[in-house]
Amino acid sequence: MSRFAALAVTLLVVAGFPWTPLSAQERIERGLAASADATIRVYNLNGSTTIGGWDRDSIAVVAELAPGAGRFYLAGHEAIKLGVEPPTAGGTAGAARLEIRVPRGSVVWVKAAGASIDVDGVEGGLDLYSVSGSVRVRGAPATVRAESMEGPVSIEAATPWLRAKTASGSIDLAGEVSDLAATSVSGTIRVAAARQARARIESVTGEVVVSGRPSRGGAWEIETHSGAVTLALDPDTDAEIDVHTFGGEVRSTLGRIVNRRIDDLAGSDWSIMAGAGGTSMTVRTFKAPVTIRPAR
Amino acid sequence: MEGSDLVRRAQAGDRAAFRRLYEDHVGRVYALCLRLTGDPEDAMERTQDVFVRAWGKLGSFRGEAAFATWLHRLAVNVVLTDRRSAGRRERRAETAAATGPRSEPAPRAGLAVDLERAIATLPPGARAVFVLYDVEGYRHEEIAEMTGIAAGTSKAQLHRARKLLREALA
Amino acid sequence: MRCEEVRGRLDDWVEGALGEGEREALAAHLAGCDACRAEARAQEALLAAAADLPREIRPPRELWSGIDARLAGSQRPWRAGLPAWALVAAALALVLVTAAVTSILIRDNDQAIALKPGRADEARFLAASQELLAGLEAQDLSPETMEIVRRNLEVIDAAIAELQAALERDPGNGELTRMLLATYQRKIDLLEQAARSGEG
Repeated sequence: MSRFAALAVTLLVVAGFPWTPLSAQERIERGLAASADATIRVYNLNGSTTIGGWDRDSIAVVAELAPGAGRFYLAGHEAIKLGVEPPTAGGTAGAARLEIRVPRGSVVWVKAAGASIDVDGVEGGLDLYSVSGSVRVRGAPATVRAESMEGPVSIEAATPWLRAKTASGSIDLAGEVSDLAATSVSGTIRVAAARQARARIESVTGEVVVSGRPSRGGAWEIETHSGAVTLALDPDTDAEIDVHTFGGEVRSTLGRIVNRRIDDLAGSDWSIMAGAGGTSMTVRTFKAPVTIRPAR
Repeated sequence: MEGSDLVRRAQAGDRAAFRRLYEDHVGRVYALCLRLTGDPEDAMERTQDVFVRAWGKLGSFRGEAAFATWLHRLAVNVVLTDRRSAGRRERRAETAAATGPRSEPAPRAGLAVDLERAIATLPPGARAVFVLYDVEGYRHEEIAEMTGIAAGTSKAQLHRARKLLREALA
Repeated sequence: MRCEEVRGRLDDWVEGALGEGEREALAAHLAGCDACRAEARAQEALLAAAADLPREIRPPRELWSGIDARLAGSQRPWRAGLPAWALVAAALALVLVTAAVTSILIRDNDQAIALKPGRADEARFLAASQELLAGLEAQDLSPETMEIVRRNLEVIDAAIAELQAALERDPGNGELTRMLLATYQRKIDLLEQAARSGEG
């Protein structure tokens, strides 16, 4: 399809875009031909950015700008930039709502401040950064890096590589992820175990909950300072679980305790064998309670 | 010294004992890694990973199975679950498939030499199943458990591997 | 039995997994079909060769010293030392802040010398976080972002203080030192994340 034909199709599709208008605002509909694996950088500080992958070599954008949101821009072909440029640095910009369709194989980078980011059906790499907005990912991206300082990060995707980070937001992860790392300071991290070959989860005071059935052969490392750790695993889980804590209480009702050493100064070490073993799970805390139990 | 003594001493942190275990078992571990990866450099790296991982996990070995069996399973896990090495293996397999059997000097053109070379050029999934089933003697159910594929998939991969090997050796 | 059917059953045939009727049908086909008979022989030869492959192969290079070096960090197999990724992260952070460390050491000589050797890393992390914080303040982030950073820094600093107190009681504890450094790493991560949020 030529670029012009693609553009024409795009504009036709945009016309039929499902859309719920906000109050009286500036509304912009734009389309642009793009390569199937375009790199797309989206910059939208306040409001929301929703991105969906589609099977066309083009980008379609519907932007709705509140008064004072700034100037909308869209340019490029293989490397495309789009977004809303705030009127002046420093001032609080009005909200902009962006709905964007991109080629499924795109590599997408999104930057937000208070704006939420929602991506579905994009199969290239994703780099998503927000400060207080939520970040949500669905689909099967090649890689995912999702960060929000304070907003919730929620990912339900099949991806070989995932990095999620927050300061005080929550992180919820589900789906088939081979290599996973999730980091928080005070936010809760919840992970539904699946086929992770490698997972590391770290927080300072944030709670960590791992549920489900980790697949055999995986290696998990979980570390918190004082954030409670709960492993609520399927009763038929096969795992060797090693726990080390200096001052936290350890309770396990899953599998059998094969070793336990408690020392006033050095803390306590527990080894728990669930099923036949085969998945290595290591939990370290300074003073957080650790609970290992069958999922209810 | 008995193997089980060595294991106990290694579990207590005795590095010399662990080295003896390494000497006793490295040949089998390397042979497995070599056949699973199809690449000597990759296999040497994996072999090192296996022993490093074994040291870290010795605490969870309780002598219910033989140490060799435990180590062997650990090696399968290390090689097959490492995505990084999987990617590398696939790239190398593609190269090997594109250029035909590697042009290493083959002093004796025996069936064993040809077979090793043909195994190295199999697609990764078929290669893993052939090595685990026909060379190492695991059952489909065990392979399914170790690799996370279904037993039926294991059977299908074995069929494919044997067919490709028969063709390669014809 | 047709040829394709026979080829599809060769796996079960070599393993003796065929029922009697099927086995006889297959044998009858093989007796009359040269191509399938050749395939069946090739299958048997293949499996015999596979079973005969050497169980052990010596690696072409010596591997122990590389393994030994990687074991060096851990005292005992039971409790592994600093995980490799943490070491890499720590090393990276240290490399990045060498200049800052030098300046801190010069400026604050007495304090740096007073630190025990095991805690030199801590001084470097401290220096790195001070530098990042100074960078953030210069970056003119929004008050909301700075407030998030401030709250989370308090959380991290409280954890660091607890770990330092525990280390006072048990100075030789490598696991505590590791946790302390990991918590410093959290602080650096937080500051870097905040710095990224201010970039255009």
